Amino acid sequence: MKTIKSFKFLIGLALLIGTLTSCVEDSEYETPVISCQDPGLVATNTITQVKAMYTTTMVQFTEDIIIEGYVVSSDKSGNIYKTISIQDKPENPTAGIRIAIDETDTYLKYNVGRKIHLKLKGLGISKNAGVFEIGLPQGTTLARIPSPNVSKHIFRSCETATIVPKVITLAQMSDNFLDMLVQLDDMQFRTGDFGQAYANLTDTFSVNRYIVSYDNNCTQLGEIIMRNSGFADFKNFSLPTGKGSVVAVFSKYNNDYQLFIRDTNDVKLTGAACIPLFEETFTTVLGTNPLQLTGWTNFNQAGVNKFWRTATVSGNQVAEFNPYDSNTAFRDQSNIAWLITPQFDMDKQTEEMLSFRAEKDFAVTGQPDLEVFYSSNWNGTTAGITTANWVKLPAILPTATRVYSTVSVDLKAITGKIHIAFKYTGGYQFSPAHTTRWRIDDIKISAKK
Amino acid sequence: MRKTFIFLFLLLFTFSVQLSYAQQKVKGTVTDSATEKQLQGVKVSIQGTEIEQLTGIYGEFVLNNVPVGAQVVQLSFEGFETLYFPIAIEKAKDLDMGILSMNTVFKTEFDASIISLSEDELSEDEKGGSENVSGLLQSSKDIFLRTAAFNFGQARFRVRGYDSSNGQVLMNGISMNKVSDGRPQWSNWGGLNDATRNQEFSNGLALSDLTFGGILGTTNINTRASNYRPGTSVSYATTNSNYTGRVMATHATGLSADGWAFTVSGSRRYATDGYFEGTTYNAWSGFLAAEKRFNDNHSLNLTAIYTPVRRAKSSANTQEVYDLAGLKYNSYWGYQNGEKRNSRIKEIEEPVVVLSHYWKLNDQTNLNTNVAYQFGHIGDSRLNYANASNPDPTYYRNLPSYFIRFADNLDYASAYLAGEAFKNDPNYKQINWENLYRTNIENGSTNYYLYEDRVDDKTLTANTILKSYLTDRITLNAGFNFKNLKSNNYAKMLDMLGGVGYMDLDYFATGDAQQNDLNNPNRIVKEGDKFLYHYDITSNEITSFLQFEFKLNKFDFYVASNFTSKDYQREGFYKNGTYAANSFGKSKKELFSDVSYKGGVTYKISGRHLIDVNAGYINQAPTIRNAFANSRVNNDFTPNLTSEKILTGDASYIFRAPGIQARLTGYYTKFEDVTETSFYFAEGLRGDEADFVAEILTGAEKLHFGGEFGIEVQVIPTLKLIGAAAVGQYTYNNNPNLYIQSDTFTDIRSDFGTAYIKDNKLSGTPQRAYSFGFEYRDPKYWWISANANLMSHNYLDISPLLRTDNFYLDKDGLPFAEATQQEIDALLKQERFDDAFLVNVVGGKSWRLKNNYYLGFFASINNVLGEVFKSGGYEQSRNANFRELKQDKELQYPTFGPKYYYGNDTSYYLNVYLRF
Repeated sequence: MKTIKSFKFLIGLALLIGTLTSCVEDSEYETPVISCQDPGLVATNTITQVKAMYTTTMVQFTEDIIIEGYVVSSDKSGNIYKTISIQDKPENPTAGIRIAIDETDTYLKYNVGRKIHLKLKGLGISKNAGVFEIGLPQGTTLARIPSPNVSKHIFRSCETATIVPKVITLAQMSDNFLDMLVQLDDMQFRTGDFGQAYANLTDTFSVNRYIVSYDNNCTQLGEIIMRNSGFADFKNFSLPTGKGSVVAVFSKYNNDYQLFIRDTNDVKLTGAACIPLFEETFTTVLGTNPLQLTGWTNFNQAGVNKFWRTATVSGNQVAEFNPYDSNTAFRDQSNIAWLITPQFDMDKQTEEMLSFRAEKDFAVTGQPDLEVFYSSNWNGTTAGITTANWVKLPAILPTATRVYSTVSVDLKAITGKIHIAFKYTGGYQFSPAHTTRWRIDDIKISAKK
Repeated sequence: MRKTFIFLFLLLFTFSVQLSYAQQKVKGTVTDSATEKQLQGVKVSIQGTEIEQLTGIYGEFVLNNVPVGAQVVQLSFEGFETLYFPIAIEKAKDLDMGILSMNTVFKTEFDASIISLSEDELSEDEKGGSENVSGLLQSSKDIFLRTAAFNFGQARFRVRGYDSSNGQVLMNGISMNKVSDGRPQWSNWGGLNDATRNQEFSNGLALSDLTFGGILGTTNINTRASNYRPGTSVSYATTNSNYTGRVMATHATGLSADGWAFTVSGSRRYATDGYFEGTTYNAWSGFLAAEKRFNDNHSLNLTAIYTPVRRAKSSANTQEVYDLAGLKYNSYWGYQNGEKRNSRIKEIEEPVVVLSHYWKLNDQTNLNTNVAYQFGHIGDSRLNYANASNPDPTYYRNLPSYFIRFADNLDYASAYLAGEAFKNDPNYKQINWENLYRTNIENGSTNYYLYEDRVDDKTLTANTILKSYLTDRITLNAGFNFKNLKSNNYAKMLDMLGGVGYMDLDYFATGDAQQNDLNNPNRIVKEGDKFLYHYDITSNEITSFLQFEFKLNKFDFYVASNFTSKDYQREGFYKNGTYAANSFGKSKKELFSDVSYKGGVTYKISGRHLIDVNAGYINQAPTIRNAFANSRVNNDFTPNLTSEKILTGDASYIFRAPGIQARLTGYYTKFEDVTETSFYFAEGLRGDEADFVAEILTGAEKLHFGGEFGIEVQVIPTLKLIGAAAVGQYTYNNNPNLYIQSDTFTDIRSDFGTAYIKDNKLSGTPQRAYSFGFEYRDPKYWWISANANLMSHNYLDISPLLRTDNFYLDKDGLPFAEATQQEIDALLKQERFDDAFLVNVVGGKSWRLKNNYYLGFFASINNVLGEVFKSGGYEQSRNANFRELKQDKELQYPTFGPKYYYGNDTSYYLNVYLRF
């Protein structure tokens, strides 16, 4: 009896205490209601006005200035890193600006199209390699806005708009479009880069890939750099080989305009590409000094120390002639250097156009420019170079220094099988010494078949 | 096996034995000395024989067939001090012992469970492990071990520095140690203190009746229903440890007239806010034992245990975080809709059923056969992220130290802001759950999700154990054991936090290597689905042991041998993209055959002085955890896989006199061919991402040696003085080989070469501990005890990866120019924690109410002085080379400094019980 009684007591007690103590919440949680609370900020100035506040040095904002803009960049792929580009309107924008922010995966919070407000008091504006940037003043320069400060300056609104990329052409490029989302049509990658990936397979360096603009006749109109990060998740994808439109954030690095794509969906190159008859980008060469390339001839008519050779500019290899040497023992009194292309048959196609990019530096007054010739009777031997008949082509070379410009020469009138030659003339016999450095790249002959 | 047979034969020849066959009866009555009430269910036995009986309802017993000569009658009863009565049986003369009085023992109310649980809570699946010294030792009567159990546990003391896998925990003879890591899983019977109170403990190498055992000793939890004191007990406990309240009730019927005995016990342990911030505790426990005694020779006992528990974990933190947020800071939780939600919950639901048959073949021989089946699962939840930033509030970029880590670019303003945010803003200081939901919902993707690592084990064990008194001087123990384990392992998606689907990819890999299962590429996972990895590990184990014990006048000695054959095989269900060739399907079967021997001698100089010497040579197969290189992703076994060898010995001097008991021991143990695998979420081994990494040491050697001392002096009948000391040195004894396995290191053997860790101290325990205290027992049924303890020489766990050539060499393979040997040594010097001085007070009182109801309470206060002390910690492996580490260590708060665990400050425990 006692056993049963104590059993009952036990069970009763257990149930009582069980109910009193059973509430430990550790698995059922309500999903939070995700709503948007618009901070209700109103812009006091436009992006253009704020940019105008900068003169020559970093300006710190001391007043309650608020600007607004729509996010156009995204760091999801890793191509863009710790910056956010905004433009003033989702369609037909008039100004854009870049914000330097020390945070990653910002695409999740500041998604493309999101309207944001910036409280600028305490921040600063400066120019970073030619591009306006907003950041946190640190001494005389700007640093990225550190993570704890971000919520004090950047505010999300509840509006996410659809950004319509602004269609521009290469001829229209200017600083006005910086940090806007632009679209360039009829573009394709350089044929010399077909087969390459967006960046390097074996390292994480950023790489300049050139996209080229062609007209309907496959005449090259110009080129612009697409800069790809070695940390982008698409870095090892092959470059598309078609022609079409590219959407990107428009940017600049010192004197060069650049495009940053958000991911490979921005690159819609689906049409038929213009394949030039001939293209040489000097990406892969057999020898660098002197420059050696299959089918090409590298000949010094005068001079024994300096030759046509390669140089690397922002990860891109170009051909260069530079007679300068600090050591007098390695100077030539006279430099006459020929760089001759392989042979082309001009009768097999029409409307041939020669184009190449050229740049000169350390210009010396009085020194003749690089010259471009063609010959139809050169026998292909080094001995025959000086005796062949070379016709000078009307190439208009850049006059300013340190600026690459595309040089185009119409070849459609020429017939027969020809070679094209680039001839450098200079040397230390002159006073002042003729030591201008010439660089050429992307030598292309486009044509219509 | 053959060797031991021959040995037995020789022994029988060498020793001539006299067996006496004359027998008499012994009878008596047992009462409670305090109440003079007769005690029913007391176990009365004759030492050295299988003769035993339980007293009837009038406390009476009659023992038949007691051999003539000097015998010892033993009275044991739960809740009372065991009594020994030496008697002399004369031929043809029965003995009436009259009334034998037993004294209540208060100490049995002491729940070592309080200490065991706070250790369990600190067990992280990554580094560390389930150490439960007190659970193992609470049933010991040795002064040193009792002191270690009750006082040293709060500083995570390990006896002789041994890992808990070196101690065997049995339940009715069935080994409860997990096959995966060799350690006993105390949560499997947590909350059943009343039901698991009958424990038999053998210390260290000393012999056990049931198994060869481990070098840390053997504990057998006896759950035979008839062994429980009949009656009912209810208790309520309150404490401020990892749970805050416990309610327990137990009822035992004792053996009834028709041979049935039942014991039921249940408890609830709970906490909505445990000791560490944001920790919950949610446990139910149920126990049933049913025994049917068919006759004096056959008895069948069924035990069923179910103890589901869900407990929230707390994080180890860098010193910077502790200084900012306090010693109870936990980075694993955050607020969701105003409620605290912890992301790391450990759920254990592993019921066990044991069926035991006790067969008394004759007065000298017993055969015990057991079959046990355990099933269920263990789950560890965690938060993970893809294409998003790390949600850990203590991510190094969120802390002030990040902003002042470059001497030439100190951003004090941001450091200040970060520090203030960390201290005051709960969204910054803890996980911001709403932000995780918001990110997923707004972007229509699953960037953050909660999943759990699941281990679903099914274990079948069967054994048969023989004990036979061959003569009254020779005892034989033998056993045969079979165990089969099928372990199903996978990751399970728990909560996608507002996301709609998750593509099962490794987002840190590229191309095909991204696929976790090439047979199901780009699979979309929903809540409840398995993903990430899925494999089975099967293991079969056959063990046989044989043991002889010899009792001579001056000497007792024993020899034992053990043979184990064990095999492991993995079967992968996912074809992992990084390991496409060797992850899907069955691996080869790896077989281990190991023989072990041990023996010991006790020399009785006199009744007061004893010398005890033990030695062992043990081979044991690596555990599943250490045998597979990276079982989540491939079928490979660890390189250079071989069984571990243990060479061990100890010698003790024992002094026993009325009023004084003491033991002094010296020990030496060397582990050879040790394989150690460590799994952790590494950050920054490759850029800035997190990856699950397996770090494997092979061919390691560890050396443990030192001494133990315990003394107990009964100064006056009510006052006892107790002292204990442990002084040891536990080190790595060689420079083993290091391998790293992760998605980056896809070679099967990613050989990092030698890890120069020789002479570094082993971590995880203070290597020296001293205790001094007293115990006062008042005749009016109350008692109090206080101990002052000093714990020292506890070391930080070193990272072997930092001690490979990779650390010293620059990119070009030559040592760093500025690295001098002195500087390297200084940088890598192992940190020794400050000594900890801890005072504990414990006491209790009981009252006898009318109708034989007993009310009592037991209270303890640990760390009365509130000492702040580090109880453990580990070096982070992120700064993998000299230059980076030097730069980091020069900062006041290194960006990747060690992570520490601190011991609890003053904690109390109060248990009130009612017995009737």
